[in-house]
Amino acid sequence: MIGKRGKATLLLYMIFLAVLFLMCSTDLIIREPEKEIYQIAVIIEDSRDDNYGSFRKGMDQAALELNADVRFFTLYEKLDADQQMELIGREQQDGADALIVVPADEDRVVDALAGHQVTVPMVLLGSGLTGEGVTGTVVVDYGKMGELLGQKMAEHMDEHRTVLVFSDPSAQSGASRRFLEGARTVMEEEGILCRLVVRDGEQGFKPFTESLDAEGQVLILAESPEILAETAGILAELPDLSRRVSLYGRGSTLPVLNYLDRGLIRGLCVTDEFSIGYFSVGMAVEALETAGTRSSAVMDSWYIEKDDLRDPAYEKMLFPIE
Amino acid sequence: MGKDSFWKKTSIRYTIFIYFTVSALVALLLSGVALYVQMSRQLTAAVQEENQAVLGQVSRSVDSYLRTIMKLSDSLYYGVIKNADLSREAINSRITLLYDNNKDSIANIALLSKDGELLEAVPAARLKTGLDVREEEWFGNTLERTDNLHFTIPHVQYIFDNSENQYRWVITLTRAVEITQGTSTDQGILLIDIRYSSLQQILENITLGNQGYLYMISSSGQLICHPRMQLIETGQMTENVMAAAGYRDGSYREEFGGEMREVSVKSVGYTGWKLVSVTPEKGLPLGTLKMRLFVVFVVASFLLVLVLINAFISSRITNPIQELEKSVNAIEEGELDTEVYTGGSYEIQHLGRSIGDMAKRIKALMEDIVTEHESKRKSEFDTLQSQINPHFLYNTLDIIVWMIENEQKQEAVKVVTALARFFRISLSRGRSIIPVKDELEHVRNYLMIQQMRFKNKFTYVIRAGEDVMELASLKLMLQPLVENAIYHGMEFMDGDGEIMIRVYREGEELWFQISDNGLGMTQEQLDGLLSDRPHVSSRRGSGIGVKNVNERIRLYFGEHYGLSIQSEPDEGTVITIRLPAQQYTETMEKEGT
Repeated sequence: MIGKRGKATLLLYMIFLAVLFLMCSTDLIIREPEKEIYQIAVIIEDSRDDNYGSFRKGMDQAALELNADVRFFTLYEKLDADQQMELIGREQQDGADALIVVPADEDRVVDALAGHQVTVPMVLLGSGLTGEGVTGTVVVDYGKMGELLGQKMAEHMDEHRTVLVFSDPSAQSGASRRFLEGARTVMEEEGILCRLVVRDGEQGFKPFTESLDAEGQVLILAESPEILAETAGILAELPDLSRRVSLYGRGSTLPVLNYLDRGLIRGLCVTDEFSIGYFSVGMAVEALETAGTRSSAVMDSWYIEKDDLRDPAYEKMLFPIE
Repeated sequence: MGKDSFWKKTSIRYTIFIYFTVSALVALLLSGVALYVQMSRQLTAAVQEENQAVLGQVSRSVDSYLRTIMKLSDSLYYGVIKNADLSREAINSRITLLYDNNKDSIANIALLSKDGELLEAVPAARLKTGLDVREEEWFGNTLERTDNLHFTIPHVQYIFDNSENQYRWVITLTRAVEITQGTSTDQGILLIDIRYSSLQQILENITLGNQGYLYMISSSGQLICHPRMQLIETGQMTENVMAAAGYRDGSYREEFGGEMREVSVKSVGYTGWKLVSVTPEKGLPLGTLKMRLFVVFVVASFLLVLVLINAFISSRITNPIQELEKSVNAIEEGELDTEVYTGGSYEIQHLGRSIGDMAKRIKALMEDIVTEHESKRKSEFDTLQSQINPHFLYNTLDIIVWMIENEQKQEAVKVVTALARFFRISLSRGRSIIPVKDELEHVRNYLMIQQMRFKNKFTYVIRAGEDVMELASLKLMLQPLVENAIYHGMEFMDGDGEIMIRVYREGEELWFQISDNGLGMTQEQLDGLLSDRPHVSSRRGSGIGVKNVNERIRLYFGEHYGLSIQSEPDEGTVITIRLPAQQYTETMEKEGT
């Protein structure tokens, strides 16, 4: 009834049906994407996570959406590159699928990557490092942020045209260094004198601040959120002085925002920490799912003052909803 | 043109199969698409119904939650604030009691005068230095519409001095209240900060199938709660809130962000907030690749079954036609006795019987034609044989008379004897075929008579072996040819003529050769010899033409046989006859005589 050719066609058709059946009814050919849980280790450069509140919220949001298990690590000592490298190695051994690192020492990270000590995708935060082994970067251009703050400070400057720069070179991160460089470049172009004030050991900046008795306006630029909060705390205890001091800096930690709200800080440069956390985890997962795709995100910076805190746009950015 | 030739070359089975399969496929696809669309609709309706049910439940939960808060505000107002003289009695403890009972969902309770002074706050708090709450939007709205309860959208509570390094997202409920202080009664504002997290808890564990989610907006389209609220508020993502704000309660289908999605909307009681459920189309079960492949599999399986059924049906229809075709082919090849197939359906059976009857009729007609042809041939043959001119007989008899008158009795007896033999063989009981020996005897008698007529003007020789004597020959075959030789070759010849008749066998063929040394013939004469007109004067000859002989040979033995003539003027003529070498007796048996 059916010819040879017909039998061959029928056989092919039956095979096609069988394949179709296997495709639609089993996992042999088309496998439903399994919800793999990615182990991601986040290693920051600091010994405390005060500056990472919003970042962690963004990270948690991404972890929830992207099915990731994120472990967050601080160092025993701030900017301890040895310990950070040790943590990177340990987390890889413990089965981390990807790493998100805020480098304590960029050179050490570069060496580790060049020496193939890092075998899993690595996303770097706050650093513009690129090259082999770097899966992604979420960059905050601290230099540009410093320039923005420098311009605002120049606008607020009176005839004294001097800025006190509060710095701690012994614990200066790369972000703080670039931030100060940006601010000083702009201010020096404006003819403003930047006077460096270095942390005085255990006593910090308190002795120097208390010694400020000169009349007229005083502009202070703090290089890091910690120094900014510390200085604002000192000023809070010196109401007379605080009225003459205009304190500037960067960061969006709650103490810093509270000091801004209380008027102890005049102006702040902030960035969207929540999005940094969200993007970094997103990049790590993307790298795991697409076998090492490289991506990069550059975050914007904004200058805010007290009144901006209640602006709905800044409100959501600075006080992320959990 | 090409299409026509394709169908001409295509068998009826294949044609039926193609038509059945194509129409079945079209029907299958149409029903498949209709089924798929119907299933999609039903599934969408089911999803919408389910979403509406979930939304209804969540709406009731949110409504119940908000009513609890509103009841709290009523309790605070009517149970604590309204009847109290704030100048004389402290209400803080009573507010604290209510706060403690609801502190899971309440962040702050505060009583403010219309001048913006904080009269009571639980937990204890103070307004921020330099802050004028009268400038807050909610403050103005509350005093403007004193009968209403006012809900804000989520915000960070900002008015209280916060020594702790933390912030709280709240939704603020405010209402206008009457405050009694001594003898004066004035307006104030009761503020209740609802913990945003407690409201969030109601919504966060709601799942809407694969990829579905639920969010809540205010009547003006501001987000109150969304699984990705932070990302939307910081511009990392978008949500179609403005469209949702315009929707009334019900289900909608919308395109957003390049994808189709099912959206259901349900309003939340007093506040005018809207709960919105979103189910992306690709999250529906029918939208998955496997489900689409399954639909293809079902359609393809049905197609296979249809193809097999169609193949069976078409073979059932066409098998009898093919059998009938075989019968017709056999008939076409002349096998009229073939039994014609008469199976299959009624029409095919009828056709088969008709073709069978037709074959029988053709056979009968052909037999009639053969019989008629044979009869005609015999009739023609007889006619040809009867064409012996009576003048030959008259002249011969005249010679005999002349011989008797001249006392040539012996010669007269010879001629009479020869004439008698001549006629005896001419008659031969009406047979057309006679043995070679009789044909030779016949021509010998003729030559003897003619030799006497022409006073021995010619001589003749007949040579034939014994092996040819019993072979079959056509009667009166040689006599016209000899006659032709005499009248054409000898009559006007000066010298003595010679006629030679030679008969011999070569394999399966019998050859006769009649040669003379007469005048010979021109081409015109040769052509005339084979024409219908008698070549010898009817008064002198036998009246049987050479052409007649040739036709009779062909008529009897077939087209392969006959005579050929070679002649040259003044050289003589040779006529050769080719016949099959058949035994006379066998031929007669075949003839049935």
